[in-house]
Amino acid sequence: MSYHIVDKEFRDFADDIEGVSIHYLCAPAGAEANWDRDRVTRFMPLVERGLRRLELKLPRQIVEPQTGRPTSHYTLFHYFEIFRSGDRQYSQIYAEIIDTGAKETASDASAPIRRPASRRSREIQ
Amino acid sequence: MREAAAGTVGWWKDEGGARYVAYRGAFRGSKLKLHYGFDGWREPIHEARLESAGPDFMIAEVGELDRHLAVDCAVTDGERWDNNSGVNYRLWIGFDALDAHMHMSGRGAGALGVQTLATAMASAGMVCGISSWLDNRALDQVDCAAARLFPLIWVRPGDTELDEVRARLHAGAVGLKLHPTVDGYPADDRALDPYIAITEEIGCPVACHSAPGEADPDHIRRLAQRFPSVPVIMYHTYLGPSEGRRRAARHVREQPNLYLETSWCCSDVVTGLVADVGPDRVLFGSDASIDGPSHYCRHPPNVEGRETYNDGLLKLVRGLGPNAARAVMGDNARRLFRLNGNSHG
Repeated sequence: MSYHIVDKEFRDFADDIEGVSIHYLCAPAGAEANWDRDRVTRFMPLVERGLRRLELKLPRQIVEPQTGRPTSHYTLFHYFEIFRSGDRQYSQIYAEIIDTGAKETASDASAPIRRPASRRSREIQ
Repeated sequence: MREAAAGTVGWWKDEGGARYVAYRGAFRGSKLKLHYGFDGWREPIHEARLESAGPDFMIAEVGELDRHLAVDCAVTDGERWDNNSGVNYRLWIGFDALDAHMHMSGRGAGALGVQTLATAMASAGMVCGISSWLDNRALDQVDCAAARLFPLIWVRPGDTELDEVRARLHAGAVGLKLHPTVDGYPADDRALDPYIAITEEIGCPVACHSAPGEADPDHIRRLAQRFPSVPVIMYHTYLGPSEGRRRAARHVREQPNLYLETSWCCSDVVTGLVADVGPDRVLFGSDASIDGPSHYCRHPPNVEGRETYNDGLLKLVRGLGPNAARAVMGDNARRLFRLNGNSHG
């Protein structure tokens, strides 16, 4: 399966940051983010001092639920979870429009990433 | 005479084998009393005088130990209280409890810092624990032996260097930690094989997050099948709907090197898992101290919203009986991680 790759970076704003995770999901354009249902969490690896970077592998198309048709146009929501000095902090939630440019064919479309709800939405480990 | 156990409150035995509660905390003086109750502060509550027994600790005699499971306690000098930052102390009577699933991010003062974890452990009578963090370097900042923690190496296939794994295992790490969900790979990914081959060679286990998706028990079983001599522990026994838990238990029944760990499972669920797979295949764990110093006794309850760990463990230990409880609460982890004989094991 091919992906649409989006790079995300996080620059440490303090020396006592002990880890950063990114939480993200893809939603149809105009739809609200449903974090309990669609969340994906990934660790942000430190690629150089103070800089963390990760490639998000996003679907080339998602299914527009109202029409049932595939679309390459959707919203990516994400935020960072920052572990600092034993505590957790969260960034604001960012939203950006993604247009993968993929030809809209049903064979390449996937529903928004969904998985059974976890027992604990604030799980990390 | 035997030295008192490490920690602010612990057990101490005299030459004749009589057992006392030992206090090594900040309070000193002739007015100190141990304020205590049994099995979750059930009435009546008692007080016993603490008397000096050495240069840095005091002891109190506590009766009726054979009739109870745990002592819950605090210390007072008549005016002030040492109640472990408000979460009190617990000592298990029949065994040394070990938490097989903990996290510690370093020396920071927050919920995931080593001091908070120590407070939480003392509140639940955890003598030691197995700990990991998503950046292995965080554990380098901490004296794990002093904190009574046995570190796991967090492995990201293709990213973590094999030499680092070998070096950390030789330096005292007791196994590997896998988190397929957060690191984005299926738990049976072939890219894991070089890492698991090292554990096979050295003889240590692998602890793997289990949950819907990449960390599904079906994937974990396939990994365990490829390395039948390596114990593989399914952390959480599936952090998801009960169907997955049943499937995890079935895999453990059918695959001899698979084990269950019980963080975020209520006591009735754990009792059922032990009945299903046997007491030697289940390890108690809690994910401490994600919820801070009150991780084991938080209100509202944090285990499925209906039970605290401390309350649930009393039910579990009572229901299992002494031998099975000793296995689940520590002996299984000590056996799998080869901790017996270690100074803080």
